[in-house]
Amino acid sequence: MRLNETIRNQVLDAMTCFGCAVCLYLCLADQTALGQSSLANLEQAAFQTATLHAQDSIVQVETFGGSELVKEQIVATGPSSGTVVSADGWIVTSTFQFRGQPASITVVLPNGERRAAKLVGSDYSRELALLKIDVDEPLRPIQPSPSTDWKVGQWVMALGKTFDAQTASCSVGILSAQGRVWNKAIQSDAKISPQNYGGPLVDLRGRAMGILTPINPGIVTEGEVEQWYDSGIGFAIPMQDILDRLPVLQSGTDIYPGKIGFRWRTLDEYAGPVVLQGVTPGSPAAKAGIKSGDTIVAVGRTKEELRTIDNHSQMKHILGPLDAGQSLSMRVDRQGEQQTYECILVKDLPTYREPYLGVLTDTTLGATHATIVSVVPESPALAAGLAIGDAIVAIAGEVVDADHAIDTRLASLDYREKIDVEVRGADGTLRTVNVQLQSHPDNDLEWDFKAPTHEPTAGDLADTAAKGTVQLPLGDVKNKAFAIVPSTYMSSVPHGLLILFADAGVQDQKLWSDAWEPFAREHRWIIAVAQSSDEKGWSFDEVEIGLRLQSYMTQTYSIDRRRIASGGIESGSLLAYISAMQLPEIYRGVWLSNPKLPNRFRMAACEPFKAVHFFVNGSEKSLERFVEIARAGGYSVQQNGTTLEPAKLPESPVLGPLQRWLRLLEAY
Amino acid sequence: MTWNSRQESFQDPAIFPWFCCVLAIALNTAPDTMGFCNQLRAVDPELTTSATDLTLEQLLVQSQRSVVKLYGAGGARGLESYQTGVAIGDGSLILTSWSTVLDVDQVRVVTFDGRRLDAEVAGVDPQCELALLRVPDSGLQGFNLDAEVQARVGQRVFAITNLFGIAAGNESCSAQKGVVMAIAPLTTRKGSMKTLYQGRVIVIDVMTNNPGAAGGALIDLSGRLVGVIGKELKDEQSGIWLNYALPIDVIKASVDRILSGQTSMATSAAATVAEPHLLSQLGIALIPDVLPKTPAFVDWIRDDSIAGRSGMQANDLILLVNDIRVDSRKGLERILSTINRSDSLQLLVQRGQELIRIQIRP
Repeated sequence: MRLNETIRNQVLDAMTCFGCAVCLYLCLADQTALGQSSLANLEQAAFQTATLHAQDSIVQVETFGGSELVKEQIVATGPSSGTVVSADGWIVTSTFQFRGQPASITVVLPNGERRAAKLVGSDYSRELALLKIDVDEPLRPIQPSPSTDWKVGQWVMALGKTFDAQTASCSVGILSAQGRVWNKAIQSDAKISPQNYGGPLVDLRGRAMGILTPINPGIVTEGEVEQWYDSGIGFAIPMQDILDRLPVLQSGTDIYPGKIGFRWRTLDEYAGPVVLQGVTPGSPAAKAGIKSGDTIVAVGRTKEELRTIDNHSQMKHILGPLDAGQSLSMRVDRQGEQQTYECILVKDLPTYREPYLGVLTDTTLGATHATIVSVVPESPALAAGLAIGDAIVAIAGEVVDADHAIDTRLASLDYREKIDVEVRGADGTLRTVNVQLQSHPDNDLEWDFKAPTHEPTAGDLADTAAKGTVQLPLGDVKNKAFAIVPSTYMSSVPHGLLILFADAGVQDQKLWSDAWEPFAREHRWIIAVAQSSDEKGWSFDEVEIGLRLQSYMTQTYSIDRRRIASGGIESGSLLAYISAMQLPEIYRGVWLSNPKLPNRFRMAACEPFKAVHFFVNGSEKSLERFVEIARAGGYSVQQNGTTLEPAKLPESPVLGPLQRWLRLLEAY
Repeated sequence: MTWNSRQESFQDPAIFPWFCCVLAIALNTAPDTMGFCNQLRAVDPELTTSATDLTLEQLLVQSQRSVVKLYGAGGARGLESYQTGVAIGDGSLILTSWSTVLDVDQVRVVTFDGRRLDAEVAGVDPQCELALLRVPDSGLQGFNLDAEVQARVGQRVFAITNLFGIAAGNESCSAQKGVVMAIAPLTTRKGSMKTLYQGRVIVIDVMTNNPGAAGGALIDLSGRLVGVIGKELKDEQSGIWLNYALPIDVIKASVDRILSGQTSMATSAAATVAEPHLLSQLGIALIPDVLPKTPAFVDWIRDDSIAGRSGMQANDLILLVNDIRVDSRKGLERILSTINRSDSLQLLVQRGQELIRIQIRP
């Protein structure tokens, strides 16, 4: 009952505001004649009046020419909607229909006149575009709805001009939520689709609360927003946020999400505090002086607007709506001392490439020092005179010890930097060398590296872990898997782990063992091979097999965290790629053999601790594109033109370069 | 919600003076108040006219009794073997969507109270894709097609359909609520789900585009039939599924045609003509067709040609031909193939930021 009263008051309020009080008066005067469904009738009249009130501020937007397919998806080609925001011809619409880069955009005004429109600016953070048309007579700008009036549950209408340039289409719903998509959008259950993108979401008084847009809520990947049509969830960008950005767009400047360049790692977004795990070299955060390990205490657009944050979610709500070029102020706690930093957000962070010294260190469990066991040829370390037996003590002035690993130190550096490395020589003397860093090498490096030999400890002798060709349990799936564990395996010496998605079909285990056992023994690796459940090919769901194998192997054997790689042969290659890209912080390397990769794919840019290294072999032309994209994204890729013949695995010329690449994975 | 409770709230001393105050202000200060009032009355005549004595809930139940479940052919190749029908007139006729479900000698009709009746197809109207079934002595109360009911954007409506075949036996068809989104022509032009009907439809924001819903009733707040739910259809222009109903005037005309035996297969789709306009004959050369949707940009115009004389120039972008949108070079050729060479053409071209109308007379 209370809800009904609220709705009724809302409707009556809306109607009185239209100045149609007389009409209500008539309703009241004629009470006896009224039926019992008057509330429904009043609501209906309010919907219609609000639509009438707003429809002259909505225009039809049409595009001509331009590709129909964008990222293998058909882009809507029918007319769409736009909302007039100024009398002199500024129109806000959705970027949705401009993805195909049309040759021409026209606007049909409510009076039926067609005008050529210029696309002046786009807001890629909110999927909005600003059009300009020349007008003879002033247009009727939409009236904004003040957000202070908004209440979740109130009636809203999604309006559009797809069907008709004169009469707006109207879908009714309620305001479902505010502050969605990291504070960028409001949400409604009205039907929001290409039929009204670019049109306004209006309140019962016909005032625009926001502009309808297919903003990506981050739950789906890019280009999949279409799946959200008519699913009870749709978004609009609040009107005030658009009006605030009009001057920028009007000047012809596009708007992009602002990036800061620091990272945090958390499994629970609502847990705090926000301790930074890394800062991208060259990023706004790095330039401002923010460092890995800092705790973010407060964030705001300016020093005056700083708001205290307790968890990651609160910070994302403040960072989410910020654009490239906007300022950000942060109060940071560094070892108990607080200081405020300022920076300007950017559109693109500098491409991160993993800095590389060219040394392998002792990874034996219990090793207290990062003692160099090999120096890679052609490496910065070799040029600087670092030698086997040297123990790395400090990198660029920061201590390296049991708690501060070399990779953590390197991650905060730019791969182009020249840095000091302090080492303690085998004779105990300390010395500092100057090293010109570079990125992880892309070429096949031939070098004589013998892994140090170890005497088995008492624990090793008591260890019962299976060796040789071992059948692996996978649980409740049809797939089968086996591992090649060297006969010399010792749990005190961490081993590398290569998880392979073999080509479809049953695998010859002896063939695999012949090919890999000598390498596994000499360089302390374990090779786990998964077979597809269907002999004809892998299915997408089977990507999970990689997770199961990785989990089982790391629990059962002693695995070196810097030497976990995935690999895939032919039909298995896509799964290897996906496994690694889903968990780049776990997989250091990906081997793709004669890969079957989709024509179009997305690749997240390389980040510290997520720098996956690729080895790609095969003669397909499509590989060139993959290599190009991966390298541009900051990844190291070693390319080999040889096609692997699975039946002749042990003699394959691919094995040599591949195994050398695997050896190099652990190099810093 | 009943009228009584609403009445009480207006007698509420806290609200009533406020209301009178607003009323007074509105009367004194808004010169166009009467205009607005008339506008609102035009939008919904029911605000000032008497409605039925039934509650909304009672109206719905009453309407559900005039909607039947139909079962016929199908069940294979993804085709459903069920749909919905609407009893009209004296109840002996059932209006439904013309589909493969009706490809049987006798269509099984199951009424709201679980009676199973056999119906014969009295006739079909291919133009509207509607069919009429005859069930003598059905005992059903039919919707009145003669009522002057016109759907309006923003109007509240209910769809009553047997979507997904969820209702069986003596179960009533399902009711869904929504509003009229738009009233517009059905502009589906391509795709596997072709529709012969190209006329005006009521687009609704109710998810009726589901198996079995075709042939269902769309009713207004007074329980009057405003439309019949159409077949499952995707709008090829915007790429999304369309929820729509055929409006009552279209239905009524269709029923009249069926009953008088005057239906025909006449399709409204534009056919190619024997001697169409050709770009070369007009003297227009477009930029080469290299993209999936190459825009219809003019590369050059032959001097002393028809197009040249009409004022067309190189670099013009052709947007409309006889008010039909030209989305690409191929699209332009398609449109021209439907226009007789002896007929004149009305073009809209874009030259720079200017839109120019050009009349081409052969």
